[in-house]
Amino acid sequence: MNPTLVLLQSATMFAMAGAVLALSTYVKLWTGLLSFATVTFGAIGAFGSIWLYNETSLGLFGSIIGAAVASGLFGLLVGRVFLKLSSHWLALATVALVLITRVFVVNLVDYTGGSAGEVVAYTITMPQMAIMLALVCGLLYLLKRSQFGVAADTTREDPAVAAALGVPVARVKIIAFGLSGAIGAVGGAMQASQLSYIDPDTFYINLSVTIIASVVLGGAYHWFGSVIGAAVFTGMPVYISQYITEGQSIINGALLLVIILFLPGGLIDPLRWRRLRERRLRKRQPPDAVDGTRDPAPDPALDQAGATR
Amino acid sequence: MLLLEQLINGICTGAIYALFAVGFGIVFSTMQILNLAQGVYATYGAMITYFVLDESGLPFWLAAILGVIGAGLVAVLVDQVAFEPLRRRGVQLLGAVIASIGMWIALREVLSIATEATPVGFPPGTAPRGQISIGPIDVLQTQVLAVVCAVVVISAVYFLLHRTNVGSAIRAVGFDKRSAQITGISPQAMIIGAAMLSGAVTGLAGILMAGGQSFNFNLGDALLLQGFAAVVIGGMGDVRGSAIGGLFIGVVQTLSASYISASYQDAITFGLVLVVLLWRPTGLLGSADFQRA
Repeated sequence: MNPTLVLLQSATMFAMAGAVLALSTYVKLWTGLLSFATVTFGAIGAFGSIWLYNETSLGLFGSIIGAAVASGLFGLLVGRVFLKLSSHWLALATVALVLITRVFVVNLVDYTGGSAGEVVAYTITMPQMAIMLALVCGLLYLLKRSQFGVAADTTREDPAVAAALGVPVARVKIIAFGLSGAIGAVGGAMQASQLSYIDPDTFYINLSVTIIASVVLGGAYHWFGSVIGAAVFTGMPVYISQYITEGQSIINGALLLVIILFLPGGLIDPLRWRRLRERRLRKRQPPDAVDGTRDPAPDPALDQAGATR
Repeated sequence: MLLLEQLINGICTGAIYALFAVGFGIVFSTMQILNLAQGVYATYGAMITYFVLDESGLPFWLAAILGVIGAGLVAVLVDQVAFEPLRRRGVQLLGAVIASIGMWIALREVLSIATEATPVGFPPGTAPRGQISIGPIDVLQTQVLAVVCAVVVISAVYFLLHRTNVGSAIRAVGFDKRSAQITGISPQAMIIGAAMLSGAVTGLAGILMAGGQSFNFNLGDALLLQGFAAVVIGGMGDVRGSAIGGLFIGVVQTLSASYISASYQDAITFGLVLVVLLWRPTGLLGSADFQRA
């Protein structure tokens, strides 16, 4: 096959794995929790599913589902324990969790291969990856429109007001962590399959940085932002590396900085789009329009939506 | 005797962590920024010292001073490039964290290219190497240097921040920028000053860390993690708290490595961090400063 095509395929598959991991982080951010714990969930998913695949007869999908369930339960536990921490402190605690994860990966040699790492026993094909990503996206699409979605939005915007309105803030956050755990495990398995060899450094700080960057820069206010962000930050580097071998990280770092400075809402920012649409609408119907049949004042509902952020 | 030796090792490592944590705390308390690029300052301090020693053959102390100043300037650069534009729009937690990650990655890669990712070390005969015997115990010269530097610098930073007008101004800006401005303080100057101070202290920690060993562009990453543990345990934004937290982490690490399990040493350290976070989120000595606003 054409080498460019192979590279493109590999980039796409990395991007899909990255997207699932990013969505795992997004679920927590949705309820206002900045967490690095996705990497831990990814590690559970990857090492867990490989172990299940080797030791049991669950098969590929059974193993991944098994690992996802375990990771989801672990996520619920983490959410429960970390519940009272807010903003910076939660971020710090989850960084500590990532560091501890590495120690356990290194030491649980029987399950993880220890510091030598482990060959990934299975491969997930491109269509299978696409199906998994689609399922996760579908889940979030449904959640966005569900009661949970509204509760999560409210919790992020103002937990105090949300609680006063009767939103079970604590439960919403714990559920978000549980979901993040399950989704993160699937992402971890996909990432592992794509790498075909994983070691303790696979699921470590570097990955968590890439994931957070994907989510925030893609747009933390809509799940689709995470998918776009992952394509930019995990897929693109694979493809670009054939042209630029040195200093790629400098470009990544600068890109992070530029996007956060100039597009603070990320690439996918529903609010900015709404504002732009509104401005275009106003331009098309200037206040001194001869027509005069329509009210030139901006729609108050749109303004209100803008004021919440 | 072994316990005493381990304890001394722990204190010497802890002194470096303490320095780093104090540098980290300065930025955090004056700007409320969780700066993940902080570790890079330590690497730059060590790398600049190395390059100066290697290229010009200046005496070690002079090279170290240049390294410290260089690290301070890098900190000012990071602040002006990444944090200043965010401050102008009102600091957001996520924005500042991401911006600092961006600077961390980029600056680290610059060093990786400059050294071709190979480990370097201070040329032999420049940095103090060798042992001093105090009674029955042998300690390395670098260890003594680390403790002396830490005590002197941390005391100086504490004195500066809490006993001088400049320190009061820096803390005032950290507490409430606008009110500080009303009293005639220039927030801009204070923020740059705090960044410079923070970078310089962190750079010194990096130089001391690099002292007796070979190191590469990753040097600061490990320091960032340990220093962050120290800051969490000691309390953010409090010089004494950060210093004690650093010492504590150093001692716990060394002792747990030799008496409990070397391979689980990091898990013990960061497990402790988790326990402290959950039990007293503001640190053992921390004030509730950060809860404000």
